[in-house]
Parts: sequence; C-alpha cells; structure tokens
Amino acid sequence: MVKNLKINIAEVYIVISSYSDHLCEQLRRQYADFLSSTDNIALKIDIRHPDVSHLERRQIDDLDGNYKLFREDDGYTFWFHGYWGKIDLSFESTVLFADSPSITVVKLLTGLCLSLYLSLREGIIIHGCGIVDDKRGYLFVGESESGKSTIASLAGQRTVLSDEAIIIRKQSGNFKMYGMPWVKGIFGNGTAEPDSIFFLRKDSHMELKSLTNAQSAIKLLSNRFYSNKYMMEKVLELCVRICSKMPCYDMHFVPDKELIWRDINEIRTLSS
Amino acid sequence: MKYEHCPVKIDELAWRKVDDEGIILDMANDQAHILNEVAIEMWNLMDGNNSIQDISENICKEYEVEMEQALKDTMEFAGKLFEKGLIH
Repeated sequence: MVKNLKINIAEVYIVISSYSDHLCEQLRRQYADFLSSTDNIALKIDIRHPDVSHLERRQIDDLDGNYKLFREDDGYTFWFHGYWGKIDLSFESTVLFADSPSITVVKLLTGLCLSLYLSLREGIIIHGCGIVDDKRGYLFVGESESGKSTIASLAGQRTVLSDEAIIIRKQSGNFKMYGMPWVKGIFGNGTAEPDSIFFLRKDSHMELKSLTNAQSAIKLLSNRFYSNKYMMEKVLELCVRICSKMPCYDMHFVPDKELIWRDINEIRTLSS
Repeated sequence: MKYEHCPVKIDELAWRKVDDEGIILDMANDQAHILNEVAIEMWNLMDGNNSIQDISENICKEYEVEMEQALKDTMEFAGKLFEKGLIH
C-alpha cells in the first residue's frame, strides 16, 4: 500500500508517496521538524516501480554527472543519480521510477523538485548559510569549502537556519529566507527576512567589499542549486531583484567570531 | 578577427541591463558574464550588421576616445566574446 508523507519546506506543501514503509519511516525521522498535515498540496513526488519502458531513450554520458533534464512536449524527463523520472510542465508533479531508492537520493530529489517548482514562482535555493541575529537575516553564500559551516559554527547565540542550503522566496510582497533540510545537517524549520548577503571567501584577513547589483546577481545565480538552462533567464531576474533589495558584499574572513560579527555590525550600521 | 568582420551574437543567450552594467547569460554553458557601460554599447552593436570598424567608430564618437584606442578595445572585447563562444 502506498504511504504518503506530507512536509512543509519554505511554505511549500509537499507530499512524498512511496510503497516502501522503510523509506517513509526514514524520511519521517529526517523531516521531523518539517512535517505537515495540510491537504493543500503544492508539490507531489511519487516514487514508483521502475517501469521506464514508455520513456524515450536518452543517451547519458559520464560528463552529465548526477542530474540531467530533457524538455519534452508534455513536460520533462530527467536523469537523477541513476534513476529516470518525469516532471510536468508546471513542476508540480514528479514521478521517480525507482523501487526503494536511498533516503539520500530522495532528499536530493526533494531539493531538485523544490528548486524547479520555485524557479517558476519567485524562489531559489542557494548554497548558503542563513543566520538570524535580532530578527535580521544574514545570508552567507559560497560553494563547498568556502566557509559556510565555519560561519555557522561561529554564530554563537544567533539562530542558524541552515549551514548548507537556503531558500529565498517572495511571500506577501517581501523576500523571506528559509532553511532547507539538506543532507549534511538538519536545523529547525525557521525563517527570516534577509537583510544582507555576504559572498564568502576564507582568507588570512577580514575584508568586506560592497558589490554592484549586477556583480551580486551573477554570484547569487552561480551559487544556485540545480542549474537549469530552461529557467535561467527567469532565475536571473529573481537574483537581480533580490540583490537590488539589500546590500551585498564580498566577505573575506578569518574564523574569528568576534571579528566576523564586529565587521558585519559595523558595515550594517554604516549602510543603514 | 579582422576589422571588416561583422560579429553577431549566438542564439542561446539572453542579456539584460542592471543599473550601469550588463549581464550576458550563456544558457548553453550555464555561465553569466558582466559588461561595463562601454562594453554594453559594443555588445548592442554586435548584430551582424556592424563591423569591428563600425563599432569602433561609434565608440570613438560616444566616448571621445582616439580611433586607434577604440579599435584596440573593440578587438580585444570581441576576441574575448569569441573565445567564450558568445559571438560568431
């Protein structure tokens, strides 16, 4: 019998359906802070038996990595971590043809589906660490090894939304940022209005340098999850609008809690 | 590239202005590039109808630079775009 798990990530209500009791139970534990009971579902992810005979044959080579999206007349076919799947044109309904994929694959798939869904609805998932300090949301953006986890570990009493993936989406006219439950760490289901964005680089000194809107939009765009050429223009527009709403900085930093927050507070005081 | 060449943008890209700068989106290669004010002017003229010479003359008039310098800058910019596969 099919099992349904309902979750709420960034106010997007998602249902994940699977025949695997074990998988559903694992997901329920992983998403404990994100469980929902609403029937007002926006995004459906259906994990089914692997009958892919009806899918058009596609050639995948090693260079394509773990993810590839193909545009079809009635939606998209995708390749994801060794499995095939289908997504409808509005990115509201996904089918993954797999018996019992690992929980990691399903969590990554949830990120992919959410990323595609948000790309049509003024939202984006960023490789970032989100920290809330006295109701001010700070987004620290950077690739792997750029220092997101270091910044999170130096947050002190401030609230960390995530040290890996942050969702920014427009809600009721304002941008809000949310923690995305990702593979590495699970933080609570929190949110805040972003106040400023910092593009991270570990260095031997502290330096905050103001960026133009175009510079910051490109940096934000290049740090999004799951690049997708079909939506790139739309996502760039969103990045420009986000970066035009708040100051953005290149942040060279040393792992010193006092120095980091002193400099951030100084520059935010000067710009407000 | 010769001065008589008329550069033209490839199909699979988009571009937009943001304040005084421009952003080129190279959808095929999943990359974005930033343009300054002068580069935007050059980029706009790369429509297949203007040669490097024509573009340089325009830059000469608009920004009051010597023709020699304008030609050098336009050639350099077009060369970079060509290397990145953004123009033919």
